[in-house]
Amino acid sequence: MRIPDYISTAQTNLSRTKLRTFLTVLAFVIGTFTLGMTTAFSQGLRTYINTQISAYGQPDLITVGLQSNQVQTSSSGVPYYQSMRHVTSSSDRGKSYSLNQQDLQKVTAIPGVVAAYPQYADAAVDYISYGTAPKYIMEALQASYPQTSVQLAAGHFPTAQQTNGIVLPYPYVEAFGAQSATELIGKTATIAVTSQATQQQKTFQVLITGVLPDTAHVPSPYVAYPTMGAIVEYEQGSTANYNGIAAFTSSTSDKANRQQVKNALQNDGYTADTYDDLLANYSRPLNIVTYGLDGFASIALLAATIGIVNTLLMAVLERTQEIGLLKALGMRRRGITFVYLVEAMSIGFWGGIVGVLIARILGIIANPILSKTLFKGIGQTHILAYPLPYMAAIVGGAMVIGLLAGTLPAIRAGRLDPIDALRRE
Amino acid sequence: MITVTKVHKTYGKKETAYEALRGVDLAIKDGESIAIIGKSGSGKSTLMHLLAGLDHPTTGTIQWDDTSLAEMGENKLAGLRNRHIGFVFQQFFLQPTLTVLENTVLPLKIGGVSPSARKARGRAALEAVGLLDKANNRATDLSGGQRQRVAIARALINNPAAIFADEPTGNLDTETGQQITELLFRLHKDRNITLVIVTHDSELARRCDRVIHIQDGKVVK
Repeated sequence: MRIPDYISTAQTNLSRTKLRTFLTVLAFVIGTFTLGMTTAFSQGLRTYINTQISAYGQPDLITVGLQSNQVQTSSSGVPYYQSMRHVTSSSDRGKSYSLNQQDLQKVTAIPGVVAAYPQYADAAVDYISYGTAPKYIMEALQASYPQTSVQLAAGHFPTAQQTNGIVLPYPYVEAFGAQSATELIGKTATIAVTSQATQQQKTFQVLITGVLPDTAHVPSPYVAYPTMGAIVEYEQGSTANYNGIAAFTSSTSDKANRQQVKNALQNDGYTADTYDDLLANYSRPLNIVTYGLDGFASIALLAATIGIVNTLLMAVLERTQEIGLLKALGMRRRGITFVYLVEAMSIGFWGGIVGVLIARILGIIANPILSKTLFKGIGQTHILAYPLPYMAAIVGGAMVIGLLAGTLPAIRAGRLDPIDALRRE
Repeated sequence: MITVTKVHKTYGKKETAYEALRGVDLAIKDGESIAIIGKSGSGKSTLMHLLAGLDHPTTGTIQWDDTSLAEMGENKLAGLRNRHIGFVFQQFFLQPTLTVLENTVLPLKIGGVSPSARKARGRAALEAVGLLDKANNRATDLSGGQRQRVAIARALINNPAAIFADEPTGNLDTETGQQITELLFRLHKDRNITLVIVTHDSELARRCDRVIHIQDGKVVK
């Protein structure tokens, strides 16, 4: 027989016992639907996390710190004095130390680092005021550098010349009474900080150059690093100590390049957190959950497999005479086996298609609801994503499982003796 | 030319062994019609199955022209049945899910003939048995006689060298049986097809060039 004949014969055979085929396919649908939904959810979540992360991190940025073994510690565990080193934070995993001008020079000299800037402790802001809008509290500021380029809702990060530029979190657009984010670009706002030494308040004029995207978690505002330095110096009286160093690699650097720079930094006694580390930190738990969910879906598929074996064994038994006739008319053993394998694969195929389609339809219904409730503020991102290759893989996988399940009944059909088969009446 | 030499066929093993054929010698010439008659259980159906390559003798040889069927593998035997043999059964064995035309061209479908060629040859075969107007009906819509004519059309589809008919009129009333007999013999004469009929029907047997009586696994006359 020709391949299309095998396929059409299998479909005709399946349509003969409609209810039974329906039930067998249904059992399969439960598995493929579950698999479709877990895939949709994990893929959607991955995209969601990536968009969220893109509001914080950027690929060419490496955050540099000092390895704790770089500071000599006495046998009592208390570190010895070292000039220009302070403890910035302390946890059960060890102490973090401040960095200084010398560290900045060393980091800048590392091959692959195109620029490095000091990272100051977060600067607390008393308030921000804009036009006639009320004064608002603002989260601690973080520095923006000429290389900073995470995704924005409007505008851009302060250029090297815009030394007093600020990028505002999205909610301030509405708070300032603006109709849109673009309306604020180029306007001036005032921020006030208080000196910890003198308790006197001072105001800084800042130029709004951009607005951050509308993400679920509101990130800190960015201020151009010269102004950031000025604010920190006023607030804390000194900028000699850095919490860390922001090192930038080339904007065209790939994961391997970044890893090279990271290794070089580690060899020089620094810790280095890359964008890839950040992504990995978020994707690891997601991967574990995905594997777990997929595992449960696979158990459902396994149960459905037994249904296929059962259905086909019954079909072979019922069609003994017909198989005998086909053999008498010259169909080879291999041909008979193939008919039943195609039939088993078809059950997998229909189970896969229907399961994936139902999952897709559920996604169309659930996505708008999810983005208005549980995942508010994700913008255009769909929390249930259905990448075609993944969905095709589910259908393909269902066909392979069907094929495996059909092996036993198909071999049994091929082995039937035509004489016995035709005699049965 | 089909030559049967000292053929024995035993079913089962040891104590339960049952010898269906006990030394059959037979020669069937090309274009000959031959009736195999005998009581049920005499071994006549077994002989037909062996002749058509559906089963192998326990001992002895069956030759088609110069080729021994024992030397052909399963696949070659399947090919022989597919291209050179037509079968007609008492129970018709039509597929209920297929149309009359699809039933007719089943051997061509198995043989991998293209759909367009199948259709043309199928219509020609149905015309030969006078059922062209029923081509697109379901096989289940037909009467017994019509079903057997479809089975004959299916047997004809490959222009076979031989047609093996196992009680072709067994499930039909006398008049319909007569029509089927006429049809089989007309095709046998017109197309010079070797006809081997296993039957109880003495009327049908009398029309054949030769009648073989089988009794207890042996040819008695």
